[in-house]
Amino acid sequence: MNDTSVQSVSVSVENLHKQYRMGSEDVRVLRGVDLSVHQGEWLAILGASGSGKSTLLHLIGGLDTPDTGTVHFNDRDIYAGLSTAKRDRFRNQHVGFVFQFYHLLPELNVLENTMITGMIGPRRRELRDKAGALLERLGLSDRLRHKPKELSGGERQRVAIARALINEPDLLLADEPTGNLDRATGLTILDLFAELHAGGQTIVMVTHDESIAERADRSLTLENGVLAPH
Amino acid sequence: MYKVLLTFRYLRRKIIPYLAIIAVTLCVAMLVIVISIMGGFHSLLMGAGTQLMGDVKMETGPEGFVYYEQLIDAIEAMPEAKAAVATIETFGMLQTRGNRNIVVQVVGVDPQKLARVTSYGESIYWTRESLEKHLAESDAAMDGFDQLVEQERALYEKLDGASDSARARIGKKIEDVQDRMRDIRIGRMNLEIIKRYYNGTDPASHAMNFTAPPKHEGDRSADVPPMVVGLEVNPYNRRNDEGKYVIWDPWMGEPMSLTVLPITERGAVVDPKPRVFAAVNEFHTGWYEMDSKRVYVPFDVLQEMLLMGEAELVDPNDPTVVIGTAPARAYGIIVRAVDGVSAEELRDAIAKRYAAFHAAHPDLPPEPFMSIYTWRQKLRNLLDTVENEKNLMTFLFSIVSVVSILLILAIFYMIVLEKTRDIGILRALGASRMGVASIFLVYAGVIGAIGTALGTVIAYFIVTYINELHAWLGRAFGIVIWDRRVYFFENIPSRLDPTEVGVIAVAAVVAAVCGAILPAMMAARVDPVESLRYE
Repeated sequence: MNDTSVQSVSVSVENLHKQYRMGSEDVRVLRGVDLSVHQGEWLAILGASGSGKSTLLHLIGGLDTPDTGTVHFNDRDIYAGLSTAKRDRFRNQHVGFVFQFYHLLPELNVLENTMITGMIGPRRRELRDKAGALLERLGLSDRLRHKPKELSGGERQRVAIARALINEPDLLLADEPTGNLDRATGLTILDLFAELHAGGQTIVMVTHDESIAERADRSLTLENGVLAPH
Repeated sequence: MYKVLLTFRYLRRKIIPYLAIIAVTLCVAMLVIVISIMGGFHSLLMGAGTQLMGDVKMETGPEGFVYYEQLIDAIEAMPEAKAAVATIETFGMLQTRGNRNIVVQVVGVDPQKLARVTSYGESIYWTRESLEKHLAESDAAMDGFDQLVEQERALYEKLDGASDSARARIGKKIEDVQDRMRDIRIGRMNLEIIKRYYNGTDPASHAMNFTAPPKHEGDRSADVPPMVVGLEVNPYNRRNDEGKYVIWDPWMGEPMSLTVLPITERGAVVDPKPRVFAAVNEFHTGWYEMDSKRVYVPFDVLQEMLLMGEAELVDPNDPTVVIGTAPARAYGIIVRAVDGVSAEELRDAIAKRYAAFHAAHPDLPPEPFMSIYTWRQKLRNLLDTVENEKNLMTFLFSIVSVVSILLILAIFYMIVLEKTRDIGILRALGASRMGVASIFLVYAGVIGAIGTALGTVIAYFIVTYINELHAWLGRAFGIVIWDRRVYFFENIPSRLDPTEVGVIAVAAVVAAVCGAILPAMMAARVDPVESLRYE
């Protein structure tokens, strides 16, 4: 595991609160979460189903808005300091999302699904070459023209990871990345995360599985809306 | 860039957008067809007006007016006028073979002068070229005659052992083949009669000079005044399915009695005057009203028949005493403007000139009784009606187009609902709200553009082949939309105006995009977190 103590802070979350309305009830999901993620760190957040792990991940990635509290990314407040449009651009340029259900676009093939993140942002040269190289690295070079429905679960998740990495994000956010895969395939995905981490990629991963969390540098548990060391 | 990629991927894989494309296609085609046909009708009326009626016409009641020759000299001396011709117009009864009577509009005119003020010269049907063309087509048809005989034989063979329904179908085909054979044979025979009648002379010259061709051997044509008859006056000149005339019973050279009703200068009706004429040619303007009713006869002959020629005035108490001369009368004068002078400018100039002329000739009626009008004024009611009808049709079909906008709205609403997860994914990947909304606007724009292109192409073909299509509808289903007797012209007019098509095309694309605005706004407001929560 990497030594993160000497590295600068990448993400800093302070006193984060979020509540949802479910039917007639307000559910307080996050009740003052504090968190620091260092550059190059692989952090796992454990928690039971419905504990608010995904909500926390979405807030860190600028996809949702907190009720109160701040999220700083490299010292910049991504909610108070950025307009919605700028936050969209920030998400595109600095954050990569990997979801449990892959969430690939069914009409696009593997290459296009990988390139789409790059196409959303400012025009980049050689995007196609870069996506091809990335997919080759992930063992999908013979699947470029295939549609998501023609792929296995593991392959789909690798395409999703390629899509998340195409813009070389500072932060990779993974929401139960192995949750929809069999154990063996899940392990290959974790190996891939480990490889990325070894290359210096900062990763925040949420999971309910302790054995998966063990692969990370550090694990925290989300319980009753607050984080505690595991 | 991703918007274009997604637009084309969505287009390729879904059936729903094709419904929207069909809606846009139909609306565009409908509007272009309506505007082209109504616009074509309008411009045909305008063209026919100026070409067939001359620029300005002056006329009085059926009793006519005097000093018309001096008046024509005065008008032709005006810098605005190119030429003028006197006419006499009345209604008459034409008695054809077998004592069959046809009511016709009889126009007495000098054909040379008429050709200078109207397109009379171009409307002459039998010319050297047209006769050659008819004969060449007939030759080609005769060459294929053996094939028709063979077809008929083969059809008769098929009849043996065929079921009742098949026999009826084959019987209809045999009738069609026999009709074509009969048309070819009769057409050929009659063309030979016409060729023999003209006896090597230029047929058009007889229409231009009101002369009869020299008699050939065995010619029984009468030595009577000539007339030029509208092609549709003879009910035996029939058009086939291709719109070409088949000559079944040519009238050329045949004596026919024409009866007109003279009216004196004081408006009294005198006994009807019959006189025998012989047709020396026919004319075809395409204006059904004219082609089916009008006959041209020599001016002086009609003037004499209607008692409008110069006459001695006698003392009512002693008819043997001549007290003066009553000048000859005409019914109207048609005037053509010089190039660069509009019909309206010419009309105003003639009105001014006529006021001075009238001052010098008090026998003539003053202007309200001497109508001076342009062809546009003459056709004003018709032109206004067509213009109003065009606007009304455009308005009605525009309302139909609004329905298609609503259809696009509904279709895009469905597409956005179906694509909610995709929208969430794109938002998670950093697409802005505007970016997501613009995917659907680009998508609608592309659907609008494809629908517009298809609609324009379909409309182009329908408008171009509208008469063939109409003939086919009539043949196959007995549907007749365009009645020549109602719409003046024998063919359905059409005119594709690039500007009008351009406006419709732009409006259709804009309308399609407008239809997608609400669904696009809905897409922009999709909560990505909510849409990504579940598989």
